[in-house]
Amino acid sequence: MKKNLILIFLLSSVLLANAQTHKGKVFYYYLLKPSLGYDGSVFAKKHTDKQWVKLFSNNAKGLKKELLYQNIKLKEFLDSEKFIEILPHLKAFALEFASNKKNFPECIE
Amino acid sequence: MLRRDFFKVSVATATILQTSNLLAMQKNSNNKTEKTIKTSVAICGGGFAGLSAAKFLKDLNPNLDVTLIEKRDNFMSCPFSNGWLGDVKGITYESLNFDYNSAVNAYGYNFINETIININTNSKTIYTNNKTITYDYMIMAPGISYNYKKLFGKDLNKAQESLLKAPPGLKPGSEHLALKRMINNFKGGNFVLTIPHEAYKCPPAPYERACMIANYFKKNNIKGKVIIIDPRIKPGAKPKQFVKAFNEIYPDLIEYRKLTNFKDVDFENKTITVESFDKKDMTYKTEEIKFEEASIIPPNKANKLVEIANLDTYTQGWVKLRQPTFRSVSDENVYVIGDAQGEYPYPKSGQMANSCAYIVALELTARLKGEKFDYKNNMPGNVCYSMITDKKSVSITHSYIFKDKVNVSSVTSEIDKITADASKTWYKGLTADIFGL
Repeated sequence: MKKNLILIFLLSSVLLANAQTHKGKVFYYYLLKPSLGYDGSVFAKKHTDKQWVKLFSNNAKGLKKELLYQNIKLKEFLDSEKFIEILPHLKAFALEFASNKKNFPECIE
Repeated sequence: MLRRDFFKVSVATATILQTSNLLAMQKNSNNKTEKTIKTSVAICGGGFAGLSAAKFLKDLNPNLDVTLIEKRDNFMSCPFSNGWLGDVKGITYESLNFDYNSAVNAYGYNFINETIININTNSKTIYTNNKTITYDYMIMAPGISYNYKKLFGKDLNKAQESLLKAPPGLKPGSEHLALKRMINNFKGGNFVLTIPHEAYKCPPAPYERACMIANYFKKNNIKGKVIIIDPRIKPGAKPKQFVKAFNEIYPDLIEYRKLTNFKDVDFENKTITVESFDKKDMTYKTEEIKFEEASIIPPNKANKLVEIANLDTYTQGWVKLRQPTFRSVSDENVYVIGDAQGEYPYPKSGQMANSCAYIVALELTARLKGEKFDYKNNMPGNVCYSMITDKKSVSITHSYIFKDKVNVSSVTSEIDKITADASKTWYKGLTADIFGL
């Protein structure tokens, strides 16, 4: 049991270490925005970083619930392997641009 | 003029400029010579922001003791430098370079031409190689540093190699001269420009640079291609106009690779490894791109002086300020303007630096008189020009209002000659103003 926990911890650490904010942004744009209808910056600003950590915990149980509430059609995607694959990137993106953080905008048009 | 003649002239001119500069500085009564100096306002950094702040403060308070500290002995403008890279008529190395003497003589502030080695905000002291400067207020306008760690981790040799062989060209001086040499000597093949996914100085610069290199290839019949590696979905500035320029003006000369991340570079085999997003599979795929020359821009952060001064920064390395002011959250006697600030959605441009410097000069003037200053009704403005061809440019103007937070609106021009003419007037006007020409 202890060994398994260590393994899970190490695996999630590796996944998190490879998580890339900009990839999370791109995945959000192509995989979630069409169903949710708002920009990634709006998505990330919905919660503070502490709230995001909670929502992404336990295989993103809280996040799934919140997204399904907004669009039930997302169910299939949220249950897919692809969603698990993009989770670390999506989490990195949400944390970086959370409502209590200052992302640095570029030349806004 | 032959290319090698150009460099002879450039080097000779630079030498003359530097020598006359140093001689003039020795004679200049405003050049502080004492070892320990006391000043009311110390300004760290003599770029667009620092020069503008010094000028505006003296305009508003002729008797105020203002001291500008800058390590370089001449100023080189990054705005317009892409035009020089692209051999646009009328933009010369000389037209990008200015001496500090004219500004110091015109506005009467003190100038210390030394490198800052330490800052103690508790004792309000700045240390340079030879001097100790104490201040009442400090304005930091130090610009950017490159964050190569985010590209190459702890591999310092790779970072150094990349800086030397694929200069980012966002800092004035050698990097621009190196890029010019690389373009002038280019015989054919791929010239790769890579853009970081995080904030960097002057968002349109790499796209403008691509246009200017392509412009040079076109004029000189060079069988080359400029490949832009961009992690974004579209260019980070003036996207519609830049995509139009890539597709319609330089269709065979510029290849715009969107949704593509720089991964690594191999200078021996001249290959850059990238990850491209495949919309079909919704995954990133790795590939290698051959290059003859490259300019690799790492993520940027506030200049290391900010760290030395112990100022609090956001995770991406830009300075935290007390809204709605330009005062650091770490010390309310320290102001931060220009590229280093991370509090407001202001583009990191020369005009924005000038505009924010004016606001800080107004606020500090009010503060010295014990008056209140209304930041919310004194918002900055911005204009940013990008050259597309020898005769055509595109611009964007930003205006801001404060309603709970800073809100921005913008207007982008067409690619046209009127904008190119306006850009020349803007550049001449801004440089004449800060250098007192």
